[in-house]
Amino acid sequence: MKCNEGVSGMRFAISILRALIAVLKIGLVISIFLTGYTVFSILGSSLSSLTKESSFDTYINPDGSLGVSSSIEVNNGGYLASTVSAKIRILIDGEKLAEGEDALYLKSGDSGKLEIDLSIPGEDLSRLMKSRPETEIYLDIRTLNNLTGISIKTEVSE
Amino acid sequence: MSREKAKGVGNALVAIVALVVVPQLFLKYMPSFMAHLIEKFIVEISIFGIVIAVLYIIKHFSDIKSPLRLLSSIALNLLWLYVFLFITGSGNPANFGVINLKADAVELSIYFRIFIQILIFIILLQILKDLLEFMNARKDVGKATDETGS
Repeated sequence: MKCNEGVSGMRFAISILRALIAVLKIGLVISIFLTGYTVFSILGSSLSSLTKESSFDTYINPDGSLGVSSSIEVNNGGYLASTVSAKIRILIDGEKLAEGEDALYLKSGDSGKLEIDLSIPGEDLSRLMKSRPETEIYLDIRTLNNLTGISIKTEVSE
Repeated sequence: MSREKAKGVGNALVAIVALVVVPQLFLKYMPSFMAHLIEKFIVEISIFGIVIAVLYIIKHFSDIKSPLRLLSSIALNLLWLYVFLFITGSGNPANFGVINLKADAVELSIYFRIFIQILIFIILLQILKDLLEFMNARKDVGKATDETGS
């Protein structure tokens, strides 16, 4: 009797485990698909915005510093809410001259604009003219509560 | 051929197609300079494919109560996990869900560690299920022997 109960209990545990494994496998495949689709859809829209528009504006601030502003159009065409952040750094001989960043939280279907402002101090402008500055652009896209995502770093030297 | 053995052959064929045939075709139709770069990687995947196919045959052709079946089943689960880590880590399983690619001035990082953690959890559950199935099969045999004996 006890043996029979043990066997049926074990069979019940096996069927529960089978169902749980199947649910987890299906959930994993679906979440990988949703994450991949969301991340690459945002990545596509931000990269096309970065390459299509000449999105760098320069101006002189009242204090004599050089202001650089950039905007990146981002569209979440995916299925999951995501956080998109971008950072721009200007360097001379490996030394950081200016840095600016912005982040956006986008729900599925939302679009927004990342506005990045940098300010290069007036005393560094002569160095900027003499040397070859390097620009680093970082783009970070996170989804599933920031658990997964993609980040891209590009270096542009003039 | 019994249903169990047919399942073993089917699984082995799927493993061969997915890990040997498809990667080899991929290598064949790739530009030669790229093919040269990933040739070793593809060969390693193909070796895993053959080992997995052999393990499927061992698992499904051995008796359900045999420890060999349990061992091959556990080995299969662990090997599939290793292959997944190997492929997603671009040949280095230690990357563990983070891929870093660099080409000229562009660096790309992809983070999916959470999926690897879920996969490990699934593999652990699967090993637990295999263990219970093995114990259950053994208990059934014990019960049948008791009944015949009495």
